[in-house]
Amino acid sequence: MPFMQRALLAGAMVGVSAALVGSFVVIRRMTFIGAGIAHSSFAGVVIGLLVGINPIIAAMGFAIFVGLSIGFFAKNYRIEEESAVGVFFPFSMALGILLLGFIKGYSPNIMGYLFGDILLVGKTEVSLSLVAFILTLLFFSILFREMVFSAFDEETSRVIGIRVELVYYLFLFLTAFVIVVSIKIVGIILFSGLLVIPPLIALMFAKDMKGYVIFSGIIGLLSAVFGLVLSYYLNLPSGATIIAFSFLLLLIAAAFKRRK
Amino acid sequence: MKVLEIRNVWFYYEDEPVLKDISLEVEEGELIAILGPNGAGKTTLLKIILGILKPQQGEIKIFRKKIEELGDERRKIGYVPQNLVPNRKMPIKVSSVVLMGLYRGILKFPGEEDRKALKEALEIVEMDHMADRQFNQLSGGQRQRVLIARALVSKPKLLILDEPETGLDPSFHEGFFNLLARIRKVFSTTVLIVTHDVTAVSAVVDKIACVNRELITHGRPEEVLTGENLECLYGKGAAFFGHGPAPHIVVGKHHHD
Repeated sequence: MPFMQRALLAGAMVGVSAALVGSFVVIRRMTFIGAGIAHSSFAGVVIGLLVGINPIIAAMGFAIFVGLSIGFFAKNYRIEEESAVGVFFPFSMALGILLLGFIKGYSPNIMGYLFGDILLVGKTEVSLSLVAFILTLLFFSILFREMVFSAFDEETSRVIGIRVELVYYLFLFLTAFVIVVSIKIVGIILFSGLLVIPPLIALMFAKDMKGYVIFSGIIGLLSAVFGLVLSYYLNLPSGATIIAFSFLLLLIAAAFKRRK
Repeated sequence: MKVLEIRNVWFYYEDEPVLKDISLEVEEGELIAILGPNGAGKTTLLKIILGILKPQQGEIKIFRKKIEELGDERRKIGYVPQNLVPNRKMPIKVSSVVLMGLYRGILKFPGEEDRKALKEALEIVEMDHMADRQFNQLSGGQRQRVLIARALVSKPKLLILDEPETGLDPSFHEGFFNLLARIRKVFSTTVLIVTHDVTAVSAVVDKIACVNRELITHGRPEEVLTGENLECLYGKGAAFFGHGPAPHIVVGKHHHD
């Protein structure tokens, strides 16, 4: 499969997954967690390059570890989620930078991981995107109401028998998974745009939660596909083009829906 | 039958006892109010009853079972939390909020019966014309009514309300305690309500429990609402007197020795 087809396929699946996950990241005010987990995967990428395993697989392990740790500290200590992120975010970046010094010679790919590079999208990435896409769809088909209810009223959700903690940790796991899979397309630094911008656009028009999540997914798909096509024809960096394109959509939506 | 049994419950935040040795029993069909000043531990007690908090000592039984053994009977508990601050950005419909009260578990979606129950519950709180509105676009009082409907929709055997009158619009507030009495009659529901509105509640309740970290007293309103008890709850000089159809509490000044 030519690289552009691979990139489009992976991009479409990742765009939808990130936007679906992002719709609850936005509602639950977890935006900073998304950015934090994405940045923490930098340490994982470097560890992968250092010990010679696929950096994405290493990043996935590390990002999931950080995601669940943030959840653990927020739930079990008197720490706000965002403070926990404020610790893990710089620590992981610091760890990555420190370890980078140990890689012998030049590591040309590092910029690709930071800002996305579709030339890095191989068969593994396409397969991982498919796994992320299927996991996301499964998660939302099974646990949509549980996610809505616990975002709306956590206490009553417990009373009616929803296992709020379990749903939360599964969601963090899924978020971390989707983030890492997206790295090669939009990059660690740019990822939170893909997570947050489509839901924000959807939120302006949504009348109910289902509509909101579905519309967010559609915007995510459009952003990724049109962003990639533009980057191909205009010879621009893929991640930056996707984010710039979705930002443009946000501006257009905001102009349509001007509020007080 | 005893619907609720609270036995020797102690609860500490850090090392500070918030509830000391509380024991209380509620019979089926009773309407009982928990009174007490701010910070008396009333909400904590409700959260313990609901299983949201675990007491360090003591035990709670609902429908003669421990809360963790309730299983499907959990749905027979309706709950109206205090001051639910809605996520303002969340586009959730009134009907979805109410249907939350009929949650049965993962992948068990609401059916035709549930839609009927939804309509009935919204009718009871006079909000049936707003089923398709977004919850966050309602006024505080309307939101509170929707939350009451959510608690009612499963036709609960035990209804627990934490200061539900907060934010209710005056027109609905007046009828609210009568509504409680009606719900109790129609569904033969046991009702446990935490409230500050002694005046309104004393007209409809069977029993009152006065809580200020410990259970000061409990019994029929006329037995409980004595000057001595009220002093203990609201400070020196508090008094309870009736004139016209509703009794009143006068809260005295606190004396600092």
